[in-house]
Amino acid sequence: MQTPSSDEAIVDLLQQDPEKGIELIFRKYFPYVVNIVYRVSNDSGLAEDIAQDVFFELWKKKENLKITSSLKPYLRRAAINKTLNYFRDRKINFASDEQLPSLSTGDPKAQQKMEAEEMEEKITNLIDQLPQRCRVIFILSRYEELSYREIAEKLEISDKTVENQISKALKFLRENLAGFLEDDS
Amino acid sequence: MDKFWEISGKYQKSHQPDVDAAWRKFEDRIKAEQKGKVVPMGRRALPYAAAVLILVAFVFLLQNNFLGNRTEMFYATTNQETKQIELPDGSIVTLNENSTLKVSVDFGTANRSVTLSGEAFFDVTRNENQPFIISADHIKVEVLGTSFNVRDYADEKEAEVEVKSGKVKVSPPNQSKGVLLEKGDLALLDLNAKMLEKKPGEGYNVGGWMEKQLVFIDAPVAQIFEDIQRIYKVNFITDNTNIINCSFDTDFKGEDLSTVFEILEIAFHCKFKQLNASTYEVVGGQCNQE
Repeated sequence: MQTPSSDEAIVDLLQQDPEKGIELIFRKYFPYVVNIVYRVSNDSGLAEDIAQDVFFELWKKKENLKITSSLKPYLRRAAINKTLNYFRDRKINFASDEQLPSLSTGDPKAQQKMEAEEMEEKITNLIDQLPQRCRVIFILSRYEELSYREIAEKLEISDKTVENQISKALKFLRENLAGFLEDDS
Repeated sequence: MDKFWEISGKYQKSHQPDVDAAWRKFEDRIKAEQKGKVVPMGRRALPYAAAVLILVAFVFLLQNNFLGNRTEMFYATTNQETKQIELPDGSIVTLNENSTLKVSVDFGTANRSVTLSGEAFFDVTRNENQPFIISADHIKVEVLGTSFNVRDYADEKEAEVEVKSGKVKVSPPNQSKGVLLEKGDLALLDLNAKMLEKKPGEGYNVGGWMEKQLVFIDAPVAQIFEDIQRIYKVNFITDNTNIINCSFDTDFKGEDLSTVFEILEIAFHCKFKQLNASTYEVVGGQCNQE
C-alpha cells in the first residue's frame, strides 16, 4: 500500500479519498494534538476528547479546506482555539482568588545542585501545582507564545489578570527554585 | 528576560494516547455523520434513493428519538440526594433534594429552556443570543449567563430566586412583566398574595445547601427552623410564639443535629424534646436580649 508522506499529499488525498485521507492524518497527528491540549489542560481525558473534536472539525470541512501553511500548524492552532473555548466557557474552575500552594522544601541552599533531568522533573512538578487558572495562562503564554492580549480576549478576562497570573507563576517558580540555581542572580 | 521564564522551558509533559482505540471511536463518529449525507446519483437510481432515504430517515428518527440523546431529558432527586447535571451548553445545574429538572428536546439548538420543580443552583454559561429560561411551578426565570439559586417547592408558600452573580429576570408564569435582579438581590413570590417582591438578599446562603452550610445573619427563627428541618430531615412542632419571631446570627457547617440543638437551646433558653425518630417539640424559650 502506498502511503503519501508529505502533508501536501495527505491533504490532497483527504479530498480525493476522504476516508483514507482522514485515517492517515488522524494516525499521524492524533498524539501531537493530544499533547498540545494536555500541556495546557493537564487532563489527559479532556485532551483526548478535544483532540477528537479537532479532527472531526477537519473532517466536516474537508471539501472546502484551504490550508495555506502546512497541516501541523493548522492542527495546532485548532487545538489551542478549542482548548481556550473550553476554559472560557467553564469559568467555574477559574475561581478568582486561588492561593498558591506553600511548599516546604527545607532549606534549598543546603541541597545539591540538581542534575538536568531532575531539574526538568522539579520544574514540571512545580508548574503542575499552580492553581488551574494561573497554570493555563502561564502555559499559553510560555509555550504557545500567545500574547497577553490574545489570551485575555480568548478567555474573556482582562489584560491585567493575565499579567498578574503570569507574574504570580514566575514568582512561585523563583521562590521554589532559587536555591537550586547557581548564584548568578 | 526573566531567568525563571527561561528555565521554565524545561517543562515536560507527555501523554501517549491509544491511537488505535481513538481511531475506532473517531471512525464510528464519522460513519454516524455520513448516514445523513446525500450523494449525487443518476436519475434511474431515484426510486431506490427514495426508499433508502425513508429507511435512513426512519433509522435516524429511531436512534434520535427513542434511543439517542435527543429525547427530553429528565432528572430527579429523592430525599437527601443532590445531583449535578452538565447541560449541552456547558451550564451546570446542582439539583437539591426532592426536585426534578426537565431539559427540552432542542435545548442548545432552538432554545435553552428547562423546567424545574423544587430547588436548584444554576451556573449558566453566557450566551447573549439565547437566553436561558427556567420555568418553575410558580415563577419564570430568564438569564443570559450567571449563577443563582431557585427555590420553588410545590408545598411551600413562597418561591424565591437569589442571585450570586450577573443579572436575572424573574416573572410569574405567563406574565412578561417581572423584576430584574442583580448580584445580591432576592425575589420572593408570595403564593397566597400573588405578590412578587424584590429585596436585598442575605447573600450568605446562595446555594449554601450544596455544602450543607448555613449562615444566618439577623435571621428570623422561623426561617432558621425551616432550613434546619429541610437539611436535617426532621420536623419541629412548635406553637411557641415566644421565639418564632426572634432573630439570630449563627452559622452551621455540617454540624450534627445534637450540636445544632445545643446552640439553639443556649441561644433561646428553649428545649428540643424528641417525640419520635424525626419529630421534635420545641418547648419554652425567649428571645435573646443583646
